[in-house]
Amino acid sequence: MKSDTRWQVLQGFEFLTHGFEDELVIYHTGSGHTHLLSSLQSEVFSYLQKQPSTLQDLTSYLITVFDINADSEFYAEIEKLLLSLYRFDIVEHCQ
Amino acid sequence: MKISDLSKAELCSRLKKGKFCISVGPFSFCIDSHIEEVIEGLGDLYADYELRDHGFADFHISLTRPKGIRRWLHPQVLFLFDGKTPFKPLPFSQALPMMEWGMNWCIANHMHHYLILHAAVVEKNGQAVIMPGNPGAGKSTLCAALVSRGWRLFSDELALMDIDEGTLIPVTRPVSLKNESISVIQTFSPNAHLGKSYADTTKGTVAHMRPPKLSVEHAGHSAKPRWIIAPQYNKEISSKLDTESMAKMFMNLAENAFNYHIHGPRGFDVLGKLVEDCDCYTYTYNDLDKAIDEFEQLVQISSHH
Repeated sequence: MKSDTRWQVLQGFEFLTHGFEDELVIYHTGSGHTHLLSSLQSEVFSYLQKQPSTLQDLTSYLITVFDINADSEFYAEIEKLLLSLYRFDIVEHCQ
Repeated sequence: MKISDLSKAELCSRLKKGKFCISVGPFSFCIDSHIEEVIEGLGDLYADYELRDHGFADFHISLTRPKGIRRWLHPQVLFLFDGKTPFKPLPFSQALPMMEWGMNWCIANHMHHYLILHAAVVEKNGQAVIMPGNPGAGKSTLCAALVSRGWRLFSDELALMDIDEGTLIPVTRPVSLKNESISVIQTFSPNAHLGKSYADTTKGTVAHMRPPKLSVEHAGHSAKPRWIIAPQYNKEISSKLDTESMAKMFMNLAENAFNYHIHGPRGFDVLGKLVEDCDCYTYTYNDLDKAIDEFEQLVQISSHH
């Protein structure tokens, strides 16, 4: 993934959500699929709903929110997480 | 008039003329069959059901022998719904299980004004327990045990939800027990009325438990969902009731629902509200007496709040 690739929540479809404690269940009105998002996934989803972001920006935000000492492994985990959301048509690349 | 009020000859005559209609919860079935196994099974398992007028019925079903050589050679039975055959034939000896599966299919595949979950439902004091579970999890066994100790049977297979009211609607029918659970229930509740056993079905040996009379008589009364408990029989582990995350229970119900996908955003909202309104648990059990005690405790705790 290029470092300047920007991500956003998939445009053109509404996502319905039910928050349960720190987990989120979302309904994709385009595909009709329902997904369970972990606390980290739901934080990513909520953040990208507010603004498109690069992996770098997103990771910095998560480090602050979860108050963690992140390393390159964390960065790779967030990249994997983004790709999983991408596979479910929840997020997409943008300019 | 109840089915138990009919003589064998009257029962045969009605079934052969397509004048055998019963209510199953909010639905009506009109059944016709010349097959002795079906006639006996209906007379036995549905003894406490009221006969309806044979006018309108939601479902017209028929159990019949196929034409041709299969009437005699390795005889088979066909399930007809509105004159069509949605399934391949089964061995003739499995006519009654086929009728029960077919009736489930009729409801699950047509009554989409309800949200239909794959779960057993029982009720006590106006509060219902939804028990989702994959085949073999032990939901029918637990359901049979509970209803034989005074819980009201809604269904061992279909949780029918009124989308506008958020209530559960009984579709009270015989409980389908499989394999070891047949003898387990016979031992646990010697007074439970079990019909014949049918060996070598696709689900193994199957026998049906007649629904308790009170459950049949009160099948018009809905209930509020109060608990969602996903049971799992495990002979190695003693009873264990664990709180389940609401999000995971949501997914469990959605993935195992019969028609969640048809309801779209409305189904998503209804299921979300259902999960929010219920206490969610997973329940591993290996002792039915203990299971009954633990379910009773839930009711007691709830009634004190």
